[in-house]
Amino acid sequence: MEELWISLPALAPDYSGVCSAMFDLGGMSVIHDASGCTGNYTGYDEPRWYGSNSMVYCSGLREIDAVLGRDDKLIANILKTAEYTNPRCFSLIGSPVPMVIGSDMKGIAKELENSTGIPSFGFSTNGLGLYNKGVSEAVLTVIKRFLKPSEEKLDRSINVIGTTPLDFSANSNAEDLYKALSDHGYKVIGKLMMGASIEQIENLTMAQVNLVVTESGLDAAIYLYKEYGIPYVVGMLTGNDNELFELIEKTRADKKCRVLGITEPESTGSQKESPQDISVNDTLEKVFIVGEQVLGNSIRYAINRRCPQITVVVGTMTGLRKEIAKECDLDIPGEESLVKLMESGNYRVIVGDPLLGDVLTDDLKLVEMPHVALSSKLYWNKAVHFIGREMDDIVKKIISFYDSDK
Amino acid sequence: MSCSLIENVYETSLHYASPAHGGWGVLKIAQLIPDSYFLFVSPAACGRHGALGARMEGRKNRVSYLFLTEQSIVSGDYEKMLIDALDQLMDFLKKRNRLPKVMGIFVSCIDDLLGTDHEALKAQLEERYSGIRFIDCHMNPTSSDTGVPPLVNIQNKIYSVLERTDRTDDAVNIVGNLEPVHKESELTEVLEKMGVKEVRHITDYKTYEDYQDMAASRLNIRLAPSVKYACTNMQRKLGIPSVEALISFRPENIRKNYEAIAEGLNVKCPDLSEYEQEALKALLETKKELGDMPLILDWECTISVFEFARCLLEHGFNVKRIYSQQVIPSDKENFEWVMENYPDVEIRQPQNPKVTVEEHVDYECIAVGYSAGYLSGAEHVVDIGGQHGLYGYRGLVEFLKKIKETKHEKADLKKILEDAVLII
Repeated sequence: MEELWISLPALAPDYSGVCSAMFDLGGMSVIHDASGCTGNYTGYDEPRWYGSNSMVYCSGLREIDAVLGRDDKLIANILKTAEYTNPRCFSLIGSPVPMVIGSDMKGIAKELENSTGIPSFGFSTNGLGLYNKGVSEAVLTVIKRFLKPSEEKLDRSINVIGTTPLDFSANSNAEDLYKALSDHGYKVIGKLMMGASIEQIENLTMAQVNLVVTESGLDAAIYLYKEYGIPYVVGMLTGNDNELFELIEKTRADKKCRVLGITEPESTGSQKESPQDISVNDTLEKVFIVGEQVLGNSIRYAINRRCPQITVVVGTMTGLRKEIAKECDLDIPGEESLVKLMESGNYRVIVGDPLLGDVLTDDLKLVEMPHVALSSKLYWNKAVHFIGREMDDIVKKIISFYDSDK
Repeated sequence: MSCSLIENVYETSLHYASPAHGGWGVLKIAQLIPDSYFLFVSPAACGRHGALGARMEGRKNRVSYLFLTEQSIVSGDYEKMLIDALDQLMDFLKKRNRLPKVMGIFVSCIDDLLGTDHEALKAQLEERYSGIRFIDCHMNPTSSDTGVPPLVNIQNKIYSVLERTDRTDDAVNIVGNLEPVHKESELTEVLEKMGVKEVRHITDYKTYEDYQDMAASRLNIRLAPSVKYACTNMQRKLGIPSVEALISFRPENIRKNYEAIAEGLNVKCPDLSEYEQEALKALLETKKELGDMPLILDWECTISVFEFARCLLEHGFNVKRIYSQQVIPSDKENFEWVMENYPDVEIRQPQNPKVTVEEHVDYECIAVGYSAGYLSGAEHVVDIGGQHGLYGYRGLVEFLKKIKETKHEKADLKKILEDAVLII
């Protein structure tokens, strides 16, 4: 049964996704819980927490408050704290108990906003959903609230959507990406959400293109495309590959949305290397990337650019988005399915979090890429740098398992 | 008087969870039961930090998770789901020859609102899986202000699997401390002088059968207030009386503890003066070494932080600040004493968001405890959490030694906290 996880820990929950997305905005986030949910987020899902000044608090919900529905107490405590913290917005974030007692998080947020005049958001998260849904909802919510649409477009301007430490870790991955874009002559307007500010969000429509770097940024990009006509490219830079820039340029020119390795499966040419001479038994010898879908797509692209003979399957435990997937890609609903896939004999190499080693069969090779949303602080200090040599080496390592087939 | 004083100093607020906040967590405590395995039945989120903490400490192979769905929560009926999960889990464990003697079903906060009949469920499960003892465990911090908060409840559970025996021996159980008392402590020595043949602690046992020896002990010695409920139930079920001898550091309180234990054993308290002198000497030497170096204490470094502060203040130490979220009843008298005799001692609530806007201290000082270190920004931090194994006169000596040594070390607090594996 998919709900039974015997060996692996749960993935980061929806409320952690909301909190991490709101982290840099200068607002106050209050998780409506007793303590454990906040402890989950601050202790295990937020690698930026140590030394941070971000205002993330717990409501300190108690049984009697839950039974009596003491929303007034919650609001009073928030107002008291706001007197000396001066937040720019409030986020009220649900957890399992508010779900059971039917707390109206949006209603409480409305009350807060009425009392203070400060923008306030309610999120009906409940600890059943996953972090990517929380990030996605938070990004969309703040865009809908703070965006100031403008006809003005800046040349070579771009928004990056979907940077979250739960996928990117808190090493320099987000900054490396912004810098790489900048080095290629792009002006990064919105850094959503690692490095985000309300001012950036106000100006998002000045960008010519949105770059979606994780699945949690996809809904916001679709919204900005539909409402404001900003086309998007889905993909992440990996290693020293530069082909993503060519996709961005194409999209800037023709305003068509693109997904690296899906709508644009072929290498665009400038960096084409001679494909390695490998003969692979396609049905049995696949590479299986388990993790975040957009990052998985991007790694697959990097492998296939060098070695198109290798079939790479991307699988995710956070809900597969078909519009950015290949037909062979897999939605993995739980640990049981993951174990069955590992035991299927269809794969030679698994690429994913080190904790996958706990459910790995002996014949499989694991190429470790720590995923904060799964293994948290166990490996977040060893998170891979997506841009640069470290990632190139990982791709080479994956391909090296096929060297004997030459 | 004390109520109003406490109310003046302490306030209700939102809670701030600093990176230094946390402790063992209920799962780690429950896993003290030998031959036990646990299944969390809760929303996926509830088990995440416990599972990761367990993985960090090599305990993850004794806990699994059944994630409730919205449907099962709305209907309040997860019995069928639980049995399917247990069938699969038992099969998994059986194949690996790891079937437990005790299976704990952990539920989280929402269960208190769903009203599961755990007794009926337990009976059903014990019938289905014969030979395995089932217990219900609760990770429900929403109950923190009730008579049976999580720490109290879980300690009751770990001793609830002891079965009554006709045998009573000359042994005592040390309960309430999750880490065993350090061997350097004089506790065992003093107990032996009182005629005790064996001193038992839950961590001594590797098997469920051996663990049952604790049911034959003649006395429970309570080192923490949170184990009183468990001891009341042990007295009722097993016939073991208990005596309170809380972890204390004031020499006069340590003496009172031993006198209480002697009374509980119905023997004369042995001469303690040698140990007492050792402790007083350490206090003098440490004071001399530290001089007026300010000390900042927190309530997670020991059970009765105001008692410890009082001990230090009485011996001339410069206790500058105490981080304490609340005052536990057994420490109220010491809180009042500190407030009355040293009104300049600053009291801070470590979970009050106000601490997030307070500047770090601008003077050299020693912080005792993780929260004290993180929140004050002290350069020197004593690496000590609530479960430290320090007890008695020599516990005080060891504690002072740690403080003294810290004076010369610049703390890498981030590393200390990573190693501490704190769970909220």
